[in-house]
Amino acid sequence: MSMSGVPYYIPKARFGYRMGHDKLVDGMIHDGLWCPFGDYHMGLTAENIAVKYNIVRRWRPGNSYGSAKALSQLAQKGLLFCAPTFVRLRPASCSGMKVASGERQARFIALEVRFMARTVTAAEAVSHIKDGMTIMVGGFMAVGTPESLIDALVAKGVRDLTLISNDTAFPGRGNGKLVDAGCLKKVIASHIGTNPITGQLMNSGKLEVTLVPQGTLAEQIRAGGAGLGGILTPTGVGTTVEKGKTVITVNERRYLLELPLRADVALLKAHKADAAGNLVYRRSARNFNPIMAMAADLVIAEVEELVPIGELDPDQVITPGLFIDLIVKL
Amino acid sequence: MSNDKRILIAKRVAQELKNGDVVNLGIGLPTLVANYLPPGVKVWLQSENGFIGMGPAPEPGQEDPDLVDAGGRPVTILPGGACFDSCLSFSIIRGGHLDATVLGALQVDEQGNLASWMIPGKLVPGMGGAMDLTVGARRVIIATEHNLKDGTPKIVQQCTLPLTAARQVDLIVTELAVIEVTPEGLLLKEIAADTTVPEVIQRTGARLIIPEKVTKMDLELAS
Repeated sequence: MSMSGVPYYIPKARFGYRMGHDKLVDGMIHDGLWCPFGDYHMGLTAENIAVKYNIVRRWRPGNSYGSAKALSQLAQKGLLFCAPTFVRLRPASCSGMKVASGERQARFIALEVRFMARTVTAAEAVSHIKDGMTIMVGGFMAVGTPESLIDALVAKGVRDLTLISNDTAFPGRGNGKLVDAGCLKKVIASHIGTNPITGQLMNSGKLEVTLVPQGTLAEQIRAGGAGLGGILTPTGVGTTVEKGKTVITVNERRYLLELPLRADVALLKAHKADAAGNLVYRRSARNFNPIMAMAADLVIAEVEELVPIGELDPDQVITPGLFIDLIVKL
Repeated sequence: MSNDKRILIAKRVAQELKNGDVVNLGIGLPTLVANYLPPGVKVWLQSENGFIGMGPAPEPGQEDPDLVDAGGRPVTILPGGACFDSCLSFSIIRGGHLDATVLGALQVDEQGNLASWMIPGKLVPGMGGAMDLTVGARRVIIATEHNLKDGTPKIVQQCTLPLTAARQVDLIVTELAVIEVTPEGLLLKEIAADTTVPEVIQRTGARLIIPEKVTKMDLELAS
């Protein structure tokens, strides 16, 4: 007999009911799916394991083969076993089930875990960044750049990084510190003019620089985070930016196909976070931060202020906490 | 370029802006335009690093480290201003929501092509937001000196430097002349008070269409 053929039970039916309600018991759950040791619905096992081993939702594609593949890739990068402690469950993964009381409890435990962003030190946060990785760093001329994460990265002495950021700021400030310390192999940016050292390293062949129009860079990163295969922009048509790119004509106007950008790790700066990882920015320090939050495997936010859950008005939140893995409080 | 020349150019460009316009001013000379708006004209200044409603530089000691212009200098934000991320900022720019942008130039040519972002082998700062601004703004106004220090014209038949954008420039304002880019070529609209049409022609590297009457720049309109 298949599991779905197991009948519903009627407790106390042999001796009859006298007064008061009772309910049917689903034999499939009661005898088949309920863990006698842990006293929980075994349908939650994957979620429980994810909680225990710090596997975030977006590292778990919809099928087991995809999961195994994604996880082995992350393990190779060293990103897996020191990852955040909270798990994201799609509401759909729970809402479709008939929920017994014990199961409901388990589900709420899992949901609660999900809303705890992990707070770590800057050194612990950048321990995930290994030689040769691609990182995104928020900020515009060092405004909105996570300086303490950059300092920790320089102190760690990482090499051969590819940096995706608006600019390389100034010597000694923001991304400039990564340039000074020789951490970079390649830079993808819209502007390097404020940092003469970047130009020197580029001219001497020690640093590869790809210059991208600022609006295109923003949209490429957004595409990387939004699941898009690229974007079409009129910017750069008829210039050297067009070189080697596919031109697509829409309604008689020519557009360049610009491909999505993603990174292994994104380093963000926000003004305020709550413990769920929701972020609020200040003034022009927002710039690329909310976009990069969507486009990396591991997202670390450096924040000036950390408040309890419930203190940020949901309407005020600019970056929802689901994008944020680790928080570093200044 | 002398300060007088810069102020003259800024004053003349300011006359091109209308009350309520949303405008992005490039770094350097274009930034000065905000100081010379004619009486009664208020514009919304957009800064591509993510806000609109840019105000003047703060008093010393009042600088906000989170609030700078696209050149990285401390600024203020006026009541009614708004902050946003880079995607939205460039949606404003690329999406045709800017009434005008004022930019500098290395070269600008007869077809309205602009070169402003690199000199191969010498200067490679990057294009920043200039390519998006030139393509996206409804009106592209170039504010530049007429010639390089050695006299080489910046207004040329065809740009030899890498382009910022193709065929997007609408108006060129220099210390000598106001030149409109038309489908037929460069139309000389106005000349400065202290110059002549032959001098402008001589110092320009492109063919100019000279109408019967060329007016003199009138800077008294400006405040």
